[in-house]
Amino acid sequence: MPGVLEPYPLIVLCYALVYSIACLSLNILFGTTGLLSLGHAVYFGAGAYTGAFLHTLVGMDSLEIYLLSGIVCATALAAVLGYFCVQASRMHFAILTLAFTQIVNASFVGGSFFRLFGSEGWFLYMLAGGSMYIPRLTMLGIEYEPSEFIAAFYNYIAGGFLVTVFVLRRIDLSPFGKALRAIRDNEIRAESIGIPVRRYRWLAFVISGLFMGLAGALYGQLNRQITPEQLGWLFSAILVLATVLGGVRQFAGPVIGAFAYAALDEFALHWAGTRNMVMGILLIAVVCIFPMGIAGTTVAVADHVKRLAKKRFQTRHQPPLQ
Amino acid sequence: MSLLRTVNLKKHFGETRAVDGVDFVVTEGEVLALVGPNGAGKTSLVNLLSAYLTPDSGEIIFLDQDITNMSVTGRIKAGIARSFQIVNLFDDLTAFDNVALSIFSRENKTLKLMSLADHDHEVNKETDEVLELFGLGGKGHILAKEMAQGERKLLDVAVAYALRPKFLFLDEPTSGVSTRDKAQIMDTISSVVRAGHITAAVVEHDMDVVFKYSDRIVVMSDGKILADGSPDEIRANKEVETIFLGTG
Ligand SMILES: Nc1ncnc2c1ncn2[C@@H]1O[C@H](COP(=O)(O)OP(=O)(O)O)[C@@H](O)[C@H]1O
Ligand SMILES: [Mg+2]
Repeated sequence: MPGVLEPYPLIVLCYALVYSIACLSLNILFGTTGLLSLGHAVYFGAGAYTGAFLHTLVGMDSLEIYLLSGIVCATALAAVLGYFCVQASRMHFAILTLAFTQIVNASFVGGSFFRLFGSEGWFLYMLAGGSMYIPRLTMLGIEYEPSEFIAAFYNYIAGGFLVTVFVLRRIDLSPFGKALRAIRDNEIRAESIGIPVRRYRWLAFVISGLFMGLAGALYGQLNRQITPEQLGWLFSAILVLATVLGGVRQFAGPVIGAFAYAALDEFALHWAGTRNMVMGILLIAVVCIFPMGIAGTTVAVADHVKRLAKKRFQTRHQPPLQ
Repeated sequence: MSLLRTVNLKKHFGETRAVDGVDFVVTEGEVLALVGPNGAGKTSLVNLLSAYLTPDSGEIIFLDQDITNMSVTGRIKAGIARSFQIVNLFDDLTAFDNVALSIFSRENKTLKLMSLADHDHEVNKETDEVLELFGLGGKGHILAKEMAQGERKLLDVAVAYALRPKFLFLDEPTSGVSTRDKAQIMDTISSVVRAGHITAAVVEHDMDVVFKYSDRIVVMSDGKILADGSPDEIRANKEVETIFLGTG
């Protein structure tokens, strides 16, 4: 790709792939397990912030460590917060995830989180009000020139995307994936055949948090600036919207939604202050035009056409009337 | 030998004595019918035995082990499976997956995250066999929600059966279907259960059906066991007759 695309479209592609990872990981919880999280930005943010702190506080400058630390931290956080969220009913689950995001977001906006790192942390907060900057990190120990950076970094993003697709697709097709769908459709029945409902919800939550952390970490290096916005409920909601727009019942749906969102977002950049309009357009599209998502609608239309074609075929080959 | 028994089992909902001191005994190998008017406490008894309800007092003994405090999952692993009075399926999954999930669960395979479910030949084969047994062969690809009511009822039983339980408790497997479907469903269930030598209890309203298919009949009314005996004994029981005439 880097050889084919100019740097600018390449960057847009990178964002689209990062959002794809995020939406795919959101969807193992939402489309597959039936749990709506309004707080997944927390794990995305954890993925982005962890390495940023390591860089600022101890001078870590390796991209590999940046990514790994972000994933580990997001996974651990998802394991802890997820444990509490899955104890609740579906409705309360969404509210709990929202509450946790608000708490984490507020601790970044207000700076209390930065205080944990003493005066150095507080200084960091005073410097940028909760935002952090990430320099171009080294890849396999090599420093890249700014002009060559994105082409090299693209390999990490594409690699991360492919690993995510592979792993989540395998899970989707595994007995575990079926069990998650069973829980989504009917948790009482799932329990009655011996599926441990809460434990599996928790596991789905942790897996989801892990890949969310990967998406966040890739985003941090790509964007090179992260703000508490990436931890907030609004960003969580955007991810949900993009996923629903793409379609939650088809594996590729979230990828389609993420690309659509990245494109719209890009479009909006050219008119100042239209971000919220993009959100509005997405919302309308989801509710009015694609309630089943782009992927779901496509499949439904294809099915319909197939059935029509079959009917035509049958009527044409009807035996002559006696 | 008794496979399962309850000792003075009680469950009250406020003033309602849903299950009120029940000593329910199931002998290994038999097919028994649990009958009684609406509100007699039959479903509550099923729920107590499958741990969907916790008793106020009393004991549940299964294979000489006290399972009163055992969880839903624990009881399934121990070998008690149930179906539901109101059809309770995975509606957006195919009939095949509905049954396959029970087998994956029984074989402790649901935690396999990276293996392809559809490539598990053993499970596929067994799923096809179970569907075939219940007269649903060739319908595996249909979504549960798109099946006819009679088929859904059978699928509900098939999902419980696929767990290969030692004791199968079916809560009104023929409620909500036409009289003609009813006979067919009971024929199917009866032949599967008998062929598999499964101990089963079936909740049923229709006395003709009950007399035809069961070895023993337990009659419940107002949370208590009113009568317990062979079909002939129950047929001759005047008290039972008045209860059933009383409710029409
Ligand atoms: N969860 C519950 N809460 C309150 N009352 C209940 C509950 N479940 C059952 N009951 C009451 O207990 C009695 C027995 O109900 P049930 O076991 O469903 O009877 P059956 O299955 O024999 O028709 C009924 O009076 C019913 O209203
Ligand atoms: Mg009932």
